[in-house]
Amino acid sequence: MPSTPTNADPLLRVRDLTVDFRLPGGMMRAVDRVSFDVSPGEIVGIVGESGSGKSQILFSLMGLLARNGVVSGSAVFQGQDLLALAPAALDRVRGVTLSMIFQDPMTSLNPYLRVGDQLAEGLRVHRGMARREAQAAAVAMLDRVRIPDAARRARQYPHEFSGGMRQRVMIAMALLVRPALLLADEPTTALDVTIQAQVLDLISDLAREAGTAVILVTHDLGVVARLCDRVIVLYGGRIMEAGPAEPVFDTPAHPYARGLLAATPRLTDALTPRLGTIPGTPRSGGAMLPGCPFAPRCTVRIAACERVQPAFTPVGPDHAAACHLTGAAP
Amino acid sequence: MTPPLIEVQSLCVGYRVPGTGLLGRPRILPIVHDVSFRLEPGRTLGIVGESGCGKSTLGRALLRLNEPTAGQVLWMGEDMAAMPAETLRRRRAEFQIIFQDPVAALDPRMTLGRIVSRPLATFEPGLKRAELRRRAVEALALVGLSADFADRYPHELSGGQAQRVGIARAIIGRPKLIVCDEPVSALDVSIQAQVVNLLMDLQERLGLALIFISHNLSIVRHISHDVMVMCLGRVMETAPRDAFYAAPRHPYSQALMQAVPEPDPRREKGRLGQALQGELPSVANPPAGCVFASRCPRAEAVCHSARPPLRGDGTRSVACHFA
Amino acid sequence: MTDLTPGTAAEATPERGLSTLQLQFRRFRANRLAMASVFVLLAIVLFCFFGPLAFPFTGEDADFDYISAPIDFTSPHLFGTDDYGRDLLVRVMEGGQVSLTIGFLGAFVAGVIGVLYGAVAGYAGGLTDRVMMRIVEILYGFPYVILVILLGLLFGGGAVALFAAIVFTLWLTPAVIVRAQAQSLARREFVEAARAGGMTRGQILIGHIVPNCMSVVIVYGSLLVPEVILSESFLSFLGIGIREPQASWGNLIQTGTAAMDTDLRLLLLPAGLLAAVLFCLNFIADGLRDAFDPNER
Repeated sequence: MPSTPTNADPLLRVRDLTVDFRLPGGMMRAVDRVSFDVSPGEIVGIVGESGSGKSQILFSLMGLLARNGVVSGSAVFQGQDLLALAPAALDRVRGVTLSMIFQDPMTSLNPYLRVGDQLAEGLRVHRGMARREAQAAAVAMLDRVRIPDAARRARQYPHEFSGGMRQRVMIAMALLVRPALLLADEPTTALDVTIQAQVLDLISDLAREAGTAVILVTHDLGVVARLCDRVIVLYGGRIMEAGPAEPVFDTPAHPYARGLLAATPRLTDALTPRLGTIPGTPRSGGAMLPGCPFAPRCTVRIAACERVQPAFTPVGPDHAAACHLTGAAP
Repeated sequence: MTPPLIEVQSLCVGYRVPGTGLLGRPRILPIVHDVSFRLEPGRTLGIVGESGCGKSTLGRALLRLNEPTAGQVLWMGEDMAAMPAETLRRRRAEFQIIFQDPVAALDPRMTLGRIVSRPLATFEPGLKRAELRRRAVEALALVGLSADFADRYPHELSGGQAQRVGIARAIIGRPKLIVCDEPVSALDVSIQAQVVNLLMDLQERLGLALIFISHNLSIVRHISHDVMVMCLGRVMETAPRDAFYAAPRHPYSQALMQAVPEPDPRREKGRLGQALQGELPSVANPPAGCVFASRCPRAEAVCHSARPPLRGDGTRSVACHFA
Repeated sequence: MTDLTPGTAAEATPERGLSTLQLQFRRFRANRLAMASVFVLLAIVLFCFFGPLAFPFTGEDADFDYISAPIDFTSPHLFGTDDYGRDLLVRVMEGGQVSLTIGFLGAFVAGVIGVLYGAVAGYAGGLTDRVMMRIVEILYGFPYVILVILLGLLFGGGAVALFAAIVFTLWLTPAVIVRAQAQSLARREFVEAARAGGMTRGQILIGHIVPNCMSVVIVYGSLLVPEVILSESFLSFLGIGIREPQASWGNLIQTGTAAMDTDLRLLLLPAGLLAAVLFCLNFIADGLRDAFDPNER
């Protein structure tokens, strides 16, 4: 069931996306019937802790799931179901209208090739550009992502770049082809704070300019607040709450979202003697529980929570939470 | 005024870098320059900075896990460099450390009970096995882990639980100071909060002083009494916590505050596009003049040529020509 | 203030888990080929050490009634005799005793020396490490056979000289392997934690470094045994090392090879057993390596 009311013409429509892994001990469910839409040009943030399955959602959209992963459901992107595409057809989408950037930029940069060549390769392969033209476009893009001395840098190798710069190169690679949708898996987690700010600015800038929609996966609520129009809160493979950024942050309806916000330390606002906490540890592996995955840690759970999976209850315009207690007095 | 627990004077720490060539001499790569501060018993000093600022190196040098190249560390008035090796070894009971990677900090081949009690076996030799176990269980209880954990192994633990074990090991000898080297950076947000709260509870209960090293300004705000900002091995600013967060003086501190994203969409949307430009300076090739000059929005000619000294009025100090 | 023991309520104790060692043991037991090899090896060992008790003669007794007798299960010499009338089966068993003893003992001693040397070098680092490794590199350069001959002359030949020569050359590789392991361990946080906990470097070496090298050592050690046995066989085959009339698989194979054209049986029995032992040890080593795989918990 869609977590948010269907938009008129979504760029990406994900329905009942489920990811299981075949492990020696049995099947492990990482993502459980996740449904959401992404509108053209929209920046959506998927936030969750470890074990929430957030990265697996992106991997399954890109066809990068591990070999023992089993995916079901549908993800309709520009008229095609990404999850059902044959590898050849998926190759025509990946790197052309659908791009991805990762946490560790070294994984997508070939250490043996010059940076400019790697950038140009995408244009030549997917757009059939001539070599000179592609090289020029690559240098222009490096400049656009604020790499100083772009022409010289294009002839350098990845190891000659710092972490933040490599990340920018990766963004350049991903956005050079002006994709309709960019998937970003924790792109700034490994970066220093000031560099993270630069990179977030860059993603926002380029995406808005090219009209690229972005799905950003992160554990950092602050990053979501800075960059995203809409937010999806994930726990234990299921969506707990989803909606536009401001309402979700101002009046979170789900106990997990509330707990997460309370546990996030602030730079401003009054200091409490202790940080708010969520008892217990995030779910890691194992079978899905019959009821709400958050029930074992929930401080306001009722009997039904452990037995019956909560349905999505609207809380505001386009804002819904999967909790039995939504709608009741807070 | 209570005598400080630890007093650091003009401390410099460097790493030995292997020399080049067949007979190349190893040279010293300086990491920490001229750091001075004092810490009273029961107080927390938060040390904040980005990568390459030397905060972890500084933390280890305080415990003599690294040898400083210059300067002094006085532990309860005594110069640590002057302590004979045996004395230093035995006094380690008074100052401990917890690490960033909680699971890697535990020997995978030992049970948790043994891991926690091992330091005690060193500091109080002669304790019988039963007594060691009893104290280990007691320490585990203090960090919120039940007695059964004593027989488990590190690979069975989550990150948060492993960090608690690390804390239990650190407090078993009832130390006066714990250096916390990015203790929550590798943990989930909800677990970070649990561990930070635990440290604060233990500080109150056991009268611990803490040196909390982190790149996360927000967490440092919760746990610290005083804050010290470092960049490329030098102190940029020191201040009491509330004064610092209300009005940071150094441009670098201000840039850090500006850069940290807060979970407040309205405020954050206004911050897009204001990121500080430029790269972090290289540790191997430090700039002349102020280390922040290349990125500072207020930099002028003097900043690039002359390094600003750390000037203060007793409670706050700033290293900037214009602050 | 949060309750100081939130953990007891919120931290569920993990299910009674197994120690690392138990997990590894279990994984090894699941490996059928390795387990089968253990049994076969055990059978061969028992065969060699207890087999001769079943016979009234030793491998050195010449039985003039049966010179060069062929395989004949009805005769007292089941697998026949050699030129001197010595029972082949018993000789092979006695040879096995010698080869296997030198093999396991040699591997053990070479392993212990190598582990300690490597652990000290890896953990100490710096100048100590460089000097120790230069020594190893120099020793690596020594021509093996010449060294054995020299040591043989020094110790007057026989099993002791052989043993010394083999150990002297074979401890080098475990040392290098353990040194690499110790170096990476020395950087791990739990070693730093041990220093912060006041342990001396010696205590850390024995208490933390060496135990964590053990999986590497055991796997490599099990490969060392076939190497030693092969070395011994090779040297005895060359005529250095175990000399007649004492039997070892090496010199048995030597006589067997010389008589290959006429009497294959003299070669097949010791060679077959040697091959079987080597196969078993290799499968066991593979099994151990899989069991200790550091990628798994």
